[in-house]
Parts: sequence; C-alpha cells; structure tokens
Amino acid sequence: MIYLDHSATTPLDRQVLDEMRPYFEKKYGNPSSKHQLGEEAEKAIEKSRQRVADFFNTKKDNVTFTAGGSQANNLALRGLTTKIAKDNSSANNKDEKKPHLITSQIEHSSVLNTAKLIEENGQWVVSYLEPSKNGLITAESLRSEIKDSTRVVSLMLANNETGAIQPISQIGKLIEEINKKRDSKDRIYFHTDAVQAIEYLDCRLDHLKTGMLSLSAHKFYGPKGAGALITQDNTPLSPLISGGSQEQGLIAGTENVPALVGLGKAIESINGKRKKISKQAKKLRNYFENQLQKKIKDIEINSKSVSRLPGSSNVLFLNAEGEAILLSLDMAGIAVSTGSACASKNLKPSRVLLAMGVPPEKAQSAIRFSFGKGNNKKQVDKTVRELKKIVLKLRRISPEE
Amino acid sequence: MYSEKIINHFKNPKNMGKMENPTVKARVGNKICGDVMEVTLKIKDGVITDAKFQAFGCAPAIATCSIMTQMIKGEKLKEARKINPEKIDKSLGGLPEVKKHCANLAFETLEKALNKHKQGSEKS
Repeated sequence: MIYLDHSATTPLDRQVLDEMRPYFEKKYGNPSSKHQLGEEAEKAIEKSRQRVADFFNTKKDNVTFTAGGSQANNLALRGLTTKIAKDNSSANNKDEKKPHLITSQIEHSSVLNTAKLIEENGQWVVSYLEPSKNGLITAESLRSEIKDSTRVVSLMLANNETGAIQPISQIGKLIEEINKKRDSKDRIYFHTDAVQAIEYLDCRLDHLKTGMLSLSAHKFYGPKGAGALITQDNTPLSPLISGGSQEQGLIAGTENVPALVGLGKAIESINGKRKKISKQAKKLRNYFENQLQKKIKDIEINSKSVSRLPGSSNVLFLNAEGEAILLSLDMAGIAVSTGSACASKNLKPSRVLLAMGVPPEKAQSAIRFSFGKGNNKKQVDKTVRELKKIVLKLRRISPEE
Repeated sequence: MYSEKIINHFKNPKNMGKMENPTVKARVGNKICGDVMEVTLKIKDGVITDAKFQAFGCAPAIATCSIMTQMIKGEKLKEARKINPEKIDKSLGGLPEVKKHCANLAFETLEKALNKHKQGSEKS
C-alpha cells in the first residue's frame, strides 16, 4: 500500500507504541486513584503534559488534554463563548450588543459546525470570512469584519484540504494592536486550529501571537484519541465535559492514559526535526507536482501560488471525477483523499474549494495527496504512472462538452 | 463499499464510447453530485441494434450506464421500456443507499433517449 493520505491520519510510530504499551498492560491504574497504581498513571500523564508544555515553551497549566482535535476546537469555541456570555450577563449589561465571533468558511467542520451551533443558540453573532481565490484568509478581510463587540476570533493555521498556510502571526499582531486600545474586560481572544501544522511549522503561541491552539496526536505519528488545547495564562473557559476535576474540570472523565502518553512521546519526537521533516516532504511533493505537470495535461494545483504545508498537494484532474479516481488508485494500492461530491455523505463537493471560487464541476475532480515519513520517490513515480493511466481512461469515458 | 459486479463494470465498462450516426442521442446531468450521462442508440425496425454510453461520474455512475446499455442492446423497444432503476440496481448486486441515485440517472438517460425517438417517429 502506498499511503498518501497523511492529512487524514498517520501510522503510529514504533517508539510511541512502545511507550504506550505498559499503560494498556500492567500499568492500568486510574490517575485519580490514590494508590500506587493510580499514582503511577498520574505521573505518566503529567510527564506527557510536561513534554507538551516544553514543546510549546509554556507552563503545564496551559496544556489541557482532550480526546482529539475536534474536542480541543469545541473546548476553545464553546468554552470561551459560554464563559464570556456568562460574564456579560452577570455584569448586568442589558444594553450590551450580542458578542461577536469571527471564523472562516475554510475551517475544519469541528470549528465551523460548532460556530454555527453557537450562532443558533442566539447569544452570539457569528461571521464567516471568505477565503481568497488561493485559499487564504487575509488580515485585511479580518480587520474589516472586526467590530466593537468582537470577542473571539478562530482561524486555522493551515488548511487540511489545500495545505494553504494562513497569515496567523500577522492576524495575531492585528488583534494585539486592537486589544491594546481596549479595556482588558473587552479583549478579543484569538484561537487557531493548528492540527495539520504541528510537525512542520513553529507553533509556539508567542510566535503565532495567538492565545489558544488546538492539536491532535494522530496527525503526527501519535495515537488516535488524544489531543490538546494550549492556552495563555488565565484564559477564561467554561467546562466542555462536566463531571470530575480532571483537566481543571474542563474535560472531565478518566483520562485515556495510553493515548496521552503516546501524544507526549510523539510530540517530543518532533523536537529538532521539524526542518528535516519539512524538507523531505516538500522534496517529494514538489517532485510529484512537477511530474504531474509534465505527464498529465489539463490539471490545476490549488493554492500553488501561496505557502503550503510541505506535504500537501490538492490537484484538479479536469474531466475525470474524483471518486472514480480515488477508487481506481485504491485498486492500484494507492490511498488518497478527494473533495468530490460523489465521495461525500452529503453529495456536495468540497466546501473549501467552492468557497475559494473553484467551479463545482472542477471541484468534482479534486484529489488531495498528503506526503509523509513513509513515502519515497519510487512511490511517487508509481503514483504518477497510475494516475496517467486512470485519468486518460476516465477522460475517454467522459462525454465531451 | 461496492459489489463485485459494480467494480467489474467500473474496471471494464461495456459499450463505452460514441456511435457514428446514432438514431438517437440523449444526455442527462445530475446537479446533486455532478454526474453527467450520455447514451447513443441505433434503432432498426423497433430493435435497439446498438447502444453506447459515456459518463462523467463516480464508479457506480459508470457501472449503471454500462449495465443499462448491456440490458437494452439487442432488445425490442417495448422490452427496453420495461427497464427501471430498481432493475438496474438489482442487476448490479445492489448499490449503497447514497448511490441509488446513479441508477435513477441511468434510467432517466435511457428514458430520455426512448422518448426522443418516439417523438421523432411520431413526427414522420
């Protein structure tokens, strides 16, 4: 199997599995238990938390473990908006306008759908910024949307479909400038979903100028079921999962010890290797795109003109349908992803590509390739060969305009 | 996800292509998932002597067209009229729920061609 779907998930690193294994087997204690077995488990997750804190150059208190990226995004959005609305109502601001949340049309569904639900609840006004043609949310478009009532901004660091890297530091700086002129009780909180970027980009909060950041272990060779929300000191959050006092009461419930151990090990493994990892992925991705452009006509590469994650490649194969390409590649032992409507449960093509202005009939032929650690040149050559055959065949089957 | 029959019709579609001087041609597009299907028929003395299709769409879209043309080739028009989406679906071993509309589309394409032909012969 040639696996080119690293944006969807990554294989578990051997060393990470080894580190996790004891917590499935002999060290099965509940971290909240006060006996030896429990304390051993608690130590393990705190060690993991320290590893994550070190990675972001922050304090342990600023690391909240979650069950993954979607839950981290939910904690950020719901946690903030619930807390702010609560604080507003207890301050008895009857004349206050509804607070305002700004996000974008290119966010992951765990941000977008959560924002929509928050909007439906009626206590917040929500805006959804449109991307440019090449898939970027610009600082300018944000600036024109910010109102006095804006309290939360959530914009992803790198898009999961196109790989387009968003100008988060620039946006963070803009928000900082605005906050300087405001009362601290009216400040804007800035969250970024960095789930796709942890392996490749500098994600420290002070570098990005963001106050909150989401991550998910299974995107960087860690286990599924573990993620985190990194926050700045004193970020006001309401609990997402109410119950016991785990994760400072924000995400209650017995911790998934093995998965959190895996998360810490996986993130620590990135230290000092980001540049090398990025270089390797970029080399393959660029070689792949060069070969595609040489060997197959009528293709378009989305977001090519902007900075992208080094392993991402989102390609339109005009007049060949995405799901049919995906299935054909699958039959040839190659795993990829598509933005085609036929492959989605709701039969709509990629909303990210549509938001970028890609015409629906073109968006139907989108295939996402995401390169990672296990890939090599030989695999790329085979993929290009197969793609050429597949696309030619599908174009022959397709009626002319 | 797909039955063996669907996969086979996708890998090796029957009657794929264009016809020289077809008796009738019909094209149908589905805006829901963006599939487009085109069928050309050669009809002589009330019999479909040849049928070809072209399609832009997912694997089941290609498979439903392929089997539909197979079902009607060599048949009398009367027999071809009896074909419906359920028969197409069944002969492929069953389509997943989310793909049943592909059988509908293939049927619509056939129906359009047959109706067009009927109108044409009524005129003359």
